[in-house]
Order: sequence, then structure tokens, then C-alpha cells
Amino acid sequence: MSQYSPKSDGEAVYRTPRWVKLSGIVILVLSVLLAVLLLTGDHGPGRHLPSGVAQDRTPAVNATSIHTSPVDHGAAQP
Amino acid sequence: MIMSLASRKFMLTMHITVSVGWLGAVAVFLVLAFAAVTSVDIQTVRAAYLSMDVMARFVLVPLSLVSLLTGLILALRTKWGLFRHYWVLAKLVINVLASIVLLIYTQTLNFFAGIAEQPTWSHNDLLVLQSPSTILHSGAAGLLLLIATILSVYKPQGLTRYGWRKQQQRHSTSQPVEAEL
Repeated sequence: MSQYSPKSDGEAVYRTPRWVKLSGIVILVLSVLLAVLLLTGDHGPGRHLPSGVAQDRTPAVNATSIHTSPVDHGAAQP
Repeated sequence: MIMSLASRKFMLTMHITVSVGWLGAVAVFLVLAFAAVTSVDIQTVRAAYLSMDVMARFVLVPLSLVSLLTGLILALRTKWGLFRHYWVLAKLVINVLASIVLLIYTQTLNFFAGIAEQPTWSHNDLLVLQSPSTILHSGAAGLLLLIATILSVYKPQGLTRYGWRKQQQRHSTSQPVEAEL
């Protein structure tokens, strides 16, 4: 499809290509979703910076593998 | 000023090499991300995060910046221009966006690597290391770079308003000569 539409007097009128319009719509939708995600969640490298609050340093992993549940001191290991 | 054919081919070769290399590096990064998030072996998780940190700083960032630079030179010094064709403009936006997010994300990766190299991990550390963040970011980057590659090959038609005005100006300046003939 031509990007240029001739007017009645023969002059060409500019039209945005269809693929650009469709891409723009997709980008707009994705941007809105991303904005919702960023506004409702904690995102960005700043979330990893120390907050000054003491964190639990109890080791949750043994020497070779990762367990999904936290390790309690004195609790029997499976 | 338009580049000579030899210079254009050299710059195009460089641009293709680093851009496709960037896509390949992102694919490797994605595999490391999967290993880091899904593995239950501590050494594997530690190695994957440390590798991702090094890879981002010494492979991904340099490739992205050289891809951007060579792309800019090719656009500005050839007939395509930077703002005349939508496919060129789209690639520019993709490259700039991906490069900015990558530069910011290197801080996050450095943080992950700092946790990963500790001799012991707390429950909170584990939650951080098992976050799908690296998978999501590298997956999105790979998709964007794939789109940029497709645009490069197919070069879908479409002039921007600016490009169309430039084309109209060229036609109007050439017409008086044709009229005289």
C-alpha cells in the first residue's frame, strides 16, 4: 500500500505506514503494562541497596545444595 | 557528507558484527540466568552470577555502545539518514533503550554477584538470587535485538514526515530542470 494519498488536485498527502501504526499501538499497550508493574511493584536497582535494617543472616544453605526452607539453629537436618 | 563505498562496507561489517554479537551474547546470558535461578547447586549458582556480572560489564556494554556508534555513523553518513526512514528510527530507539537499561542493570548484576560470592547465604539472599529478574531482562533484550535484526534485513518501507518533506524538496528542486528540458 502506498504511503502517499493523492489529493483531488494531484498533490500527494503523507500517511503514516500501517506497520508503524500497529507497532505504536503494541508499544503503547506494553508501556502501560510496564508502568503499572513499576508503580505497583518495587523495581529498580535501588531496591537492593541496604536499608540500614538488620537482616537475617542465618544461613539458609548448606555446603553443597540449596534448600527451599530456611534453616533453624538446632533443628534436625533432613 | 556521504561515505565512500569502501568506508561504508567497512562500517557496515563492523555494525553487523557487533550487533549480532550482542544478540549472541544476550543468548548466552539468558542461559546463565536460567542456570542461576533454577540450579540447586551452590557452585553453579555462584559461578553463573559471577559470570553474568563480568559478561555484562566487559561484553554486553561494549558491544551495545559500539553497535550504537556504528549505527549512528552509518545512518548519518549514508543516504538512509537517521530520521528519514521508520525502520532506521525504530532501530535507533531500540538500541538507545536497550543500552540505557543495560547500563542501569549492571548495578543490579553487581549486587547479585556480591551476594553470590559470599560464603553463606541467608534466606533473604536466597530469595534475591532466585529472582527471575535476570531471565526477564535478558529475555526482553533478546526479543528487542531480534526485532532490530529483522528490521535491518527486511527494511520495511515508510518515510517519516521529515523524510517525506526532504524527498519532496529534492523533487521540487529537480523539477525546474526537467521543465526546461
